Amino acid sequence: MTTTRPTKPGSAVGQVRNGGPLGLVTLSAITEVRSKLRTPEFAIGAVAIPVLLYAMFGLPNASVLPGGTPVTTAFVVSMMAYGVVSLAIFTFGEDVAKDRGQGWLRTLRATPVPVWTYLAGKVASAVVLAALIVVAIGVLAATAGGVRLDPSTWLALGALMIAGVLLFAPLGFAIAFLVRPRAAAVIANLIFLPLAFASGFFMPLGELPAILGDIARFLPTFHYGQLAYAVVMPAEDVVYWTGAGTSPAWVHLIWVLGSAVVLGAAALIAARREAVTARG
Amino acid sequence: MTVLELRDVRKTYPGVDALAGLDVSVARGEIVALLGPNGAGKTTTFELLLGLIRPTSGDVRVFGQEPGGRVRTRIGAMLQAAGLPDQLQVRELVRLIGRGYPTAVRVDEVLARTSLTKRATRTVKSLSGGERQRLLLALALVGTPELLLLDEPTAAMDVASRRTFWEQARASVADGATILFATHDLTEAAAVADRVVVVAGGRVVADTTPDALTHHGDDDLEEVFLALTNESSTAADEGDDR
Repeated sequence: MTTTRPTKPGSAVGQVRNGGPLGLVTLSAITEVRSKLRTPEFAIGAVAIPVLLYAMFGLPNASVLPGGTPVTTAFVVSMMAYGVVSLAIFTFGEDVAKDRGQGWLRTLRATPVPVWTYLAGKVASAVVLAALIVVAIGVLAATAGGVRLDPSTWLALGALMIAGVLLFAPLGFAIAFLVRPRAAAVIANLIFLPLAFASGFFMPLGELPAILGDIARFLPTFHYGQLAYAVVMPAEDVVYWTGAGTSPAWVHLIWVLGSAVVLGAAALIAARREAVTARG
Repeated sequence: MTVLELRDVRKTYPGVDALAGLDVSVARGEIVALLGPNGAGKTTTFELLLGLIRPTSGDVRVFGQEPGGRVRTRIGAMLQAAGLPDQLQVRELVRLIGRGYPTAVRVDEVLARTSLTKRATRTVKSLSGGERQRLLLALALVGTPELLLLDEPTAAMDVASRRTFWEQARASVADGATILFATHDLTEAAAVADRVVVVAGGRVVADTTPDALTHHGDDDLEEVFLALTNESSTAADEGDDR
């Protein structure tokens, strides 16, 4: 063990003055991103898998949809949406639940670092990782897949994907605070996989049991997918690719925003209930 | 000046009276040991002082205010069995918590003080029990707090680490800080504390100097402790240290 000289903690020498909450959130986000990137299983699960799935199933598919959209382009949207929703559910759901279970949130409450800055850091780090997913799939599609989209379309798609992290973060937080920490990983998977399939991210709904198509209309991820596909393809290709009739954009938007509000409220109530319970 | 005060504090959980009218006050610059058997109410006392729980009745004041909120910027705390995020590095964690205080000690400096310089880039997951405790001390010290609340801080530490730990704690006091710490180690309490508060059954059963407790060394400290706590303890001795 290193021998150290006792130094007065209160001495002015070696002290730094800190900024406000913005600096704390920024540091929290940077710390989160670094932590995530050094966790191979997370980096692979969250970032590499959507890219690999695109390489495996999107790139080799030379088909073209009836409206003229190459399937390689449709798969770009599918895998980006899959990656973003996965990131939101697992970063916020499983990850925050794990921190709850390990007592980190309790430890944090004993410090001057507000828990909300920790959660904001999680959101910010998820946005960065989502941007990585978007860029990685985008570069792969444009180079190896020959996907050609206007810069404005790429930007719109990227913005929608980043927004997706924010829109589905409440779902993750709801899992984190409503479910027992030990069950969170299982519940997150139980929710995520059906959501991804029933939203047409992997295959058209027409190829799945009819009941999934009926359920899909009540899923925020389905409506999010509809918005995303519409960015890169005409309506007839959206219908063909997803196997479901499309609706006006505002309908999809209300579903996505409405579910974010409802799930966010549920997460907030659960988090407050936990804080009150902890306070006896 | 009184730094913290608990007056007739009761804390009741279903079927358990964790605190049954606790009265404790600590003045600026004191090092006070909170001694008691398992279930005496030591951890509950720390949770109350940090605003993590609220008393069922009674009054808790820290720096004259209700615990929690902005008062935490004046406190450094080590919770018993505190959870930490496994994947963060030691340096990252210290920097993050330090950022929550108005001013903080430079990360390298606080790591040096707690003998964690060589562990700076290690993740929390890879630390030994003693290193983890030293990290918790680093987190408690990084914000140059006026009050240190330490719940069994030297548990899992080896002798050398304990020595370094208390050197740092005393340095904080020399600089104007105040310390309330819980321990099971009577020798440690006697060696470190200016005052010993013995708690049993959620009440204070002795509040005096270590020297007076043993009648200037005439009585065995362990015997005195057992006599005090056996007479007064009504709390369960096993399980969670509520």
